[in-house]
Amino acid sequence: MPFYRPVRNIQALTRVSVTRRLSAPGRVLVKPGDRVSFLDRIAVRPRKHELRLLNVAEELGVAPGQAMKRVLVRPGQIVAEGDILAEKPGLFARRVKAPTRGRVLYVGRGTIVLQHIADEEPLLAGIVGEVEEVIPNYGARIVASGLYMTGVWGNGRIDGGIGYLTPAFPTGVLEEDGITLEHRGSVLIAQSVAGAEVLRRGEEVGIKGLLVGYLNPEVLTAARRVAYPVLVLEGFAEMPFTDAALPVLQGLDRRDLVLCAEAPDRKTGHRPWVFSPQESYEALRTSRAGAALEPEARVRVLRGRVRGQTGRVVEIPSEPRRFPSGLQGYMVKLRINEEVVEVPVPNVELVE
Amino acid sequence: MTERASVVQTERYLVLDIGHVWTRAFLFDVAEGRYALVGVGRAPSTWEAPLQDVREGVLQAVEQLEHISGLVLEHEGEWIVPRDAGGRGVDKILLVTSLGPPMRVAAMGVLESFSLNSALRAMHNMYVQVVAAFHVNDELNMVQRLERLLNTRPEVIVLAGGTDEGAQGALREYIQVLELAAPLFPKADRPTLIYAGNRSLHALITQRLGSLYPLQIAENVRPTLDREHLADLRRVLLEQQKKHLRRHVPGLEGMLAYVQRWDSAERAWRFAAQWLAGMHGVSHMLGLYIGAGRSWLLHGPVTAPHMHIEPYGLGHGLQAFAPHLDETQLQAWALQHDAPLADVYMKTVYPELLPETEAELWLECGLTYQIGRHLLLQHLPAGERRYVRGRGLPGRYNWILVGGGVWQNGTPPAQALLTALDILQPEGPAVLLADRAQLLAPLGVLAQENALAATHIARSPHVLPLATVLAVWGRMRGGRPVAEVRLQWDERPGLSQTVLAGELQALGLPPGYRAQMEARPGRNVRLGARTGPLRAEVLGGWLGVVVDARGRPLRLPEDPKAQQRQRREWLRRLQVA
Repeated sequence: MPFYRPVRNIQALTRVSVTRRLSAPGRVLVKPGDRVSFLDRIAVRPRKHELRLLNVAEELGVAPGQAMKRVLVRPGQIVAEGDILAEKPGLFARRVKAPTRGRVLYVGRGTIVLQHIADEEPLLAGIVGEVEEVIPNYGARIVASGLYMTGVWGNGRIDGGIGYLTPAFPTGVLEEDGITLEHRGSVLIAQSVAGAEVLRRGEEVGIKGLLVGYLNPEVLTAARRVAYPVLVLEGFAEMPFTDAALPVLQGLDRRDLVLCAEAPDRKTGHRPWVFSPQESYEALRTSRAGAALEPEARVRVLRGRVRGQTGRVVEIPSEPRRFPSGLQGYMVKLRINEEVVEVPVPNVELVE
Repeated sequence: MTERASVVQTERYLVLDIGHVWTRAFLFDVAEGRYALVGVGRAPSTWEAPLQDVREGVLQAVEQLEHISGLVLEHEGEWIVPRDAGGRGVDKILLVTSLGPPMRVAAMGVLESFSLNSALRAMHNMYVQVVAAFHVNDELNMVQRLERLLNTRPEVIVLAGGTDEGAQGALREYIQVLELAAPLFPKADRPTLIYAGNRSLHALITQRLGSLYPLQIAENVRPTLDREHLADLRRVLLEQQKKHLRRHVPGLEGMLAYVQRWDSAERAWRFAAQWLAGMHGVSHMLGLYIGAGRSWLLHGPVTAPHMHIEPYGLGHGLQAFAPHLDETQLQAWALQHDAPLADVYMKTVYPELLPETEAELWLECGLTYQIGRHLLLQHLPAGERRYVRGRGLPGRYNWILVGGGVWQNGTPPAQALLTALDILQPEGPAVLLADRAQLLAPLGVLAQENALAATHIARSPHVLPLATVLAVWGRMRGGRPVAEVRLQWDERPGLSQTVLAGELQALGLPPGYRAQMEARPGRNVRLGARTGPLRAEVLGGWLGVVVDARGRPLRLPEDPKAQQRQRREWLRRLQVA
């Protein structure tokens, strides 16, 4: 029986296809073949619908059926405050003017519905690549090549800058005084941070992102508040960087990095990612969101006695077994540091 | 032998239970003239990435079931329905589902206390999220109503109001709002409109809104001021809920061609709970289910219990529960765990993670405790909530069902019982049944298809009580005798026990047995809801009859370490018993 598990991507050079999608319908601003950078808006949707209902018939003093003949705008059109939307010419001319800047949503039944454009929620590309396909009303799929690593948690922000390995990499925690003005514009890389004040210091200095191995749950609230992306690669308790990630992370110093620190979504397989663009003319393996467990596959343990460690699959016994907790289920035998241990199948993820 | 399965009734059923995290396949067949559970297969659900097709998880669970039962149920991924001449396959496939997001509903009624509340009541027992509610006195103008409809993006709009042949003015205003709103929704996302109001407006609604929205007409929820009719609106809402799931759960549509009956897990669970309570002749019941992505509380008279469903759970449901999480209390449950909160957050990202160690299992018990208490204190009627806070679960709830997470097979029965007791603190005597095999929802859908089969399964060892529980409370001092309890059954010498204050004591009465219990309280002490001695017939269970003399309400040491020690000591005593 195949056991499918999510894949934690740690790839120094790969071809990746990411789907960028609004949470609700909006307008797509790109077309296939467009080159996009990570902060480019590829779609927008109103953060909140604020409408103005204009009764054209009443304002012009005509019957609803007649009113529509006097309307000068059409749905989708953007109008500025004061623009004339409908007009009855003549000696006693009357006009309906736009009370605000907005988009005409609807014209009919003697009315115009105008959507006030106050604040639009943009969907950023989050990666440097090329638009492969447009998802009407929602977004686009973008292909890119370069370094690609996925993590477990992000604070919802996207930005990029020059990677900087702090003294708290690969072990240790970044202290408040470890962030200085010279880090302005950088994406800092550390195993973890000492507390919420470190995150606030990063904001004062103007760093462009923070990439950590783990974050303590106590600082998650502060992490959600800062304006730059915070991306957690491994988890929420003291967890070392996965050994497969270490050499890749070491190569990030002084490289252009993009952190797309959006929340993971199990349904789509979306996980927060670190990306560094690199053109390649070779046929690259496309990264994947999940795969079946197989012998020799590299996995990371997410819970239990050997939490945070990586190993290779030795065997997947065909019968369920009892865990130390008393529960029963399928287990996978792993070799971790020359020792063979059994771990519940759902408690591992693949590392590729 | 009227209950033996006759020749015409010997159908073999495959019941599929597709949850957010796990998919289970149950096989029911006739053996020696009675329906029995042949086996259960379990596999991770596959509706999310990377597979994004529920059928793969179903197939894996069924393959496991084939391995266990030695039967062939499918051939190269194709279901064999009905059974072929060689005995391969099943006669019917039934389905219960508990995955996917809640259906987003906007409700529009004329008066808040009449039609709007009736429309909302029709949604009880369903996994819906009411994103907007309108009534004539809500002080919203037309533009604000339009904005609210657009901003909340409902999948379904329920329009109710007006008695039959009654006032129409308010409904005509809503019609205007809905006319204006229709073109503002993207065509592919236009909500379904269900009209359940004044019958005399059917033609007008169809004429003005029928071409703008997918329209469903249900019977008026308030045909007269003193009559409420919810069944038809419920029927239409259920159809919509199934459409909603087809849309949100990839692969489901492809399975339905083979499925004879499909119900939501919560409805099926409720049906089974009522069925079981009815079999035991009890009048009131309480059910608590804590799943991975949703949880529910069922309470009230067996004939018409109330059900409340929340998006809380031990998996991704932890995200919704996070604002209510009491971290200090959680640490007291999971003291041996080196990073309980970190584990909780990992579970929001990886809801399928299983408790491998004892400390992790305690953590899950702690989370179950918090979600369970929250449901009780949020949804029981106000008077009962006060009672629960001040004393415990009222004595009329003498039939209690718990299911989900830590109550499944695998968790030591004593730990499962201890968690349930700490959440509910029943006065008793109450029968506490834990759905260890996760059988209730499948049983509920099976009962709707074949009552006899469900009756047989309900009397099988898979559906036996964990214990009958009796609380002893009052003015008690730790370690002092506070009651004498005696059990007598089957002509055997009786079993007597002196109950000590502060203790949990189990008297071994095996599952399936009934005994006469005689209990005499000490001074200033009560047994359950009664004063004075108690004589009652009690049911046996895996842990027998448990006398809970820890007092009501349960008071635990404030120091987390002392609390954890205390809990472990109680567990040890139950395990020894």
